[in-house]
Amino acid sequence: MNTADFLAETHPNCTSFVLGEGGLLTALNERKIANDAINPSYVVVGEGAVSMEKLAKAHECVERGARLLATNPDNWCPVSRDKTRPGAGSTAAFLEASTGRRCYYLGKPNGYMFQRAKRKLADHALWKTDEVVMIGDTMETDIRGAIEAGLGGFLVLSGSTQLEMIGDYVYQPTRVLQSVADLTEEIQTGIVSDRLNSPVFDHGGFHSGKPGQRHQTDFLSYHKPRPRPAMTK
Amino acid sequence: MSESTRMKLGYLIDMDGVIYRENTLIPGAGEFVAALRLSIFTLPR
Repeated sequence: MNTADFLAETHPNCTSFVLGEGGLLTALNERKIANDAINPSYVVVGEGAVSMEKLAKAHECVERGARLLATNPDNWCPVSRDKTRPGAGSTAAFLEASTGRRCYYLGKPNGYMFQRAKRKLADHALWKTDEVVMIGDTMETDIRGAIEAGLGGFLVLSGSTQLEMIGDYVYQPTRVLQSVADLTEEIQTGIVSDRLNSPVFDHGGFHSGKPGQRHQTDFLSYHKPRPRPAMTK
Repeated sequence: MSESTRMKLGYLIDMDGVIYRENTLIPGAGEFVAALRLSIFTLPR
C-alpha cells in the first residue's frame, strides 16, 4: 500500500517489475503503475516466495537500469512464536549482491512512511491533535522511526522487546508500557500522565530522573555484562 | 509536559505484539480500542 503510494506520489506513471505476492501488484495497478518485465523504471521487492527465474529477470532489469526498491528492510518475519519466514529485505539483499546496486527500503523505520501516516491522520482526524505518537513493540522499527520523524514513541512490552534490552539503543522510547492496556484510563479521562510515571516502573520502585534527561532506562545498562566478540579468527 | 496534562494525542498503532500476538488478543487491548472509539464522542474538542 505504502509502496504504491510512494511511487504514485514521487514518480507518477512509472513502470515496475514486481517480486512478491498479489496485494502489492494490485496496489500498484490501482495507482496506474504498469507492469514491465523488460525495461521497468523500478524493480519492486515485496514479501513472499520468489523463484530463481524471477530473481534472474529482476537482476537483468536492474542491469538495464531499473532502480531497486523494497517494501521494507526486514530480513525475516515472524510466522509463529518459534518460526520465521524470509522477508523482503533478504530478497533485496540477493539482488544487491548480484547487481552491486543499493536498494532503497520503504517500510518502518523509513521516515516517508511515518510522515505519510502523520499526514493521513491529520487529514482524517476530527480535531487537531497536539502530538502524534507511534505505539509499537520493536525498537529498530517502531521507536526508531517515530523518533526520527519527530513523533512520540511508546514502547509496549507485550511483544518482541523485554525491558532489559532498551538500554542498548541510542534512540529511546518516550514512554515504556506493559501493554496498551496501560493507556485505556488516560484515553477515558483525556489526561496524559507524565512520561516518567510509566506504569512499568511502578512495581520496581524506580523513581528518578528529570524530563529531558536520557531515558529512565539508563539504569538498565549499567552493570550488564556483555559477551565479548571473538578475540581472533 | 507537566505532571498531568490534558492533551489530544493522535495514535499510530502497530498491530502484531501490540494488539494481538499470533491468534490471541493481548489482554486489555480490546478495552483499549473500545476506549479509543468512545473517545471520539467523550473528549472535549
